[in-house]
Amino acid sequence: MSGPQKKPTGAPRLARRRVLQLIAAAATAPVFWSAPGIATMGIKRGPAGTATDPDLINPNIPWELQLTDAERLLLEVLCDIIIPADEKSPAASAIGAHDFIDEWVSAPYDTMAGDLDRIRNGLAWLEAESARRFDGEFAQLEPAQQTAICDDICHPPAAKPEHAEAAWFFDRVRMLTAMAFYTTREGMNDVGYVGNVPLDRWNPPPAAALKHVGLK
Amino acid sequence: MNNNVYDAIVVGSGISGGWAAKELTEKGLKVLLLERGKNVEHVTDYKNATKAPWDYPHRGGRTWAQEQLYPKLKRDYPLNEKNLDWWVKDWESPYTESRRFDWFRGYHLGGRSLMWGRHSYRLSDYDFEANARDGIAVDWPIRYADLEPWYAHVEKHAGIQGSYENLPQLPDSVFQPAMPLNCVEEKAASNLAGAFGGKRKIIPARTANLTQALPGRAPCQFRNACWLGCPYGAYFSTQSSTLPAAVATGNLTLLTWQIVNEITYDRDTKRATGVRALDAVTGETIDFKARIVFVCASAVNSTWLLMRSATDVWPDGLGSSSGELGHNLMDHHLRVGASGRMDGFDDKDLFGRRPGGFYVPRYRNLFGDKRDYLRGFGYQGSASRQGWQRGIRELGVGAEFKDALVQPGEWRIGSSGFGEILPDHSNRVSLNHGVVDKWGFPVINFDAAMGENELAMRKDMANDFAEILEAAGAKDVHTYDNEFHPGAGIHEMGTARMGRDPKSSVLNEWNQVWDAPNVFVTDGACMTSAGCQNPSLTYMALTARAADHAVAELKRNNL
Repeated sequence: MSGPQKKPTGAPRLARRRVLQLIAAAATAPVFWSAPGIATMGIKRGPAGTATDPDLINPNIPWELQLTDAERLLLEVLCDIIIPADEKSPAASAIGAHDFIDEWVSAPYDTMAGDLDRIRNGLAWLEAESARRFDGEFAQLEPAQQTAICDDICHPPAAKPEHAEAAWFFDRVRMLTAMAFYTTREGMNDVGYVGNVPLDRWNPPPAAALKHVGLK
Repeated sequence: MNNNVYDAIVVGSGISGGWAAKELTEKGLKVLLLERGKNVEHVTDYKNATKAPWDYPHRGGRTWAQEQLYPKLKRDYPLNEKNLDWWVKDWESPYTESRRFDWFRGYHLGGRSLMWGRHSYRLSDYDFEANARDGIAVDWPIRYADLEPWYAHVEKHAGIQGSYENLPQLPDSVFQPAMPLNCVEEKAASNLAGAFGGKRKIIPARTANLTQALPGRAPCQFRNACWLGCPYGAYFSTQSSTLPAAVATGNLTLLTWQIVNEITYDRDTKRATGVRALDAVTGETIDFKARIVFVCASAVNSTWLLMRSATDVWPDGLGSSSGELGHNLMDHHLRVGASGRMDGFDDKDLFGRRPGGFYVPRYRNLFGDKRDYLRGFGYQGSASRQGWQRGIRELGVGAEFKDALVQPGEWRIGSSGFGEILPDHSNRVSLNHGVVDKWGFPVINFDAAMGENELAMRKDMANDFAEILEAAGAKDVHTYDNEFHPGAGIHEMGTARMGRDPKSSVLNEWNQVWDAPNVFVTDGACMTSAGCQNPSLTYMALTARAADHAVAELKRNNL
């Protein structure tokens, strides 16, 4: 199962001072970048000597988080609407899905730059829509009111033209929430993944199964 | 041993070097095994072997910083945090490219025997006779009958699981019981049996994973985590299989951190006298002496070593008198095939994780088939159910979303072809004296590319598997052909080929360097043609055969 950090590739976003330093250093870098070179480029080195992306085991986030407290709170509510708690597993916010998304959209990578805009604009739309339709903040709405708004945007192919952008925003949050949730121990337990455990056998298909499909 | 003198020196401890050490020590020789990198202790150094995906700092993936540090390794799957310690650090050991070559190396005890794909298939006379029949390159100096007993010899010790199929183009090994196909693969194989005149077959993949215990090794535990190192010793590696056997003889001396950088050569006797190594820890240069030298440093590095040796006699190195040293670099080309959906199995799910899948043996340009290209290809694939990552756009929110995601998705079946690359004199490696590695040695420059024959073959590799899937009952079949550059198959072959004539080959029929008969090169460098089968099993057999010959020649005082 691929981890949430598989995506971050590409050159850093120009907006960041540290990254500008990096680019300046890269311009004079040798044919191959040496490890000491990386160190002098101002990239933060992790415990293993190379990692600069957030460490999910010993949490550290090497870049500044971008979302405001209000945006994070709204995101937390939305994550739990997408993946609520049930008898088998906790809600998305309990494993920190909203923290993960904040970290994701704040990353200094080109490939994620669009996500910050999309999610920030989407959260703003959500508040505006809540005010317009129900005269309140999304987080304070009745569950039925929240659902009514989500129903308009949770199925991008069926979304009305005026909801198209909001639907793509919702789609991204849903994907990131699922990514955050189902790569944790709690989420993997939920799908029945038993982990890296030994088995003493690999069973061939049972006779009944083969008969069922017309074999043997 | 006194004064660094041994009966035999083995350079490199991967699949071939491990076999050389085992065979030579078991025949009573005092053997020095030299490894350029660090020690990796069996079991105790497999530090991630039992980790769950959520135990990794980045869920087992790669980071942006790692991509900056590993500009070459990042080209494919090896760059990930699960076993990164076992892949060469780009900044310590760079290489250059006139034309792109993806080179993925393991510089540590056991080499790539720890990370290999474990698929194990014999070559046949369709492969050994291919160059002669097609009138290209040079003829192999051996035939299947020469190697057959040695295949059997290594298979019994390594442990190869597979099914007896009696196929002339893919001879059966001495098998442990096969890991069976799963029910969807079984159904596909059954549907396929009636199509294409029975020529295209889906059979269980043949891999070096135990299904029955061998001494000191437990059978596979179906975690499909071989690349982390196996605490059960259930897949073949130097550490699990050949090294313990060599150590048990009491005849082995193993030194790590020894970068062998020259085979010392006596121009009067026309024999190697030993090797020169740089101790990567102390910086000291040490000369080791021996009566025979087995060069098993992996194909390109074995040739690098030859190129740096006996340059007072041949400026381009030991074995260069033929003009072929460094030439005829080969690999297997892949990342092309097809996939589809299999309906009707929604009540079936996977149990356990099999470290292999199915195989489709070569059928092109065989048994009367004639294409507009030479040689052929096999396929490796599997059928499995999709997980939560599948398309989730249609699935709503809340309990409905969560319930849908925890159900397994549809059954998919797919594969990639493994195609033969022809030996081509213009595909070559050379020393680049303008760039040096961390230890000051000139690096390898690659100059190789896919040829017209390979590109023509790829069209069949994609279309044929779509046909196979349709005949097998799959729906929604799609072909793919992702960009491939030589090297990405991680099956480097050639550059010091075997042949019948010292004027056109580097090695003779016993893997001896024509110009130094006490030097044996038995890894992928020796390959005269590539076949389309995964090659490591052939290196094992060639190494055991060459070791047997070397000891016999030593006894006859011919070396």
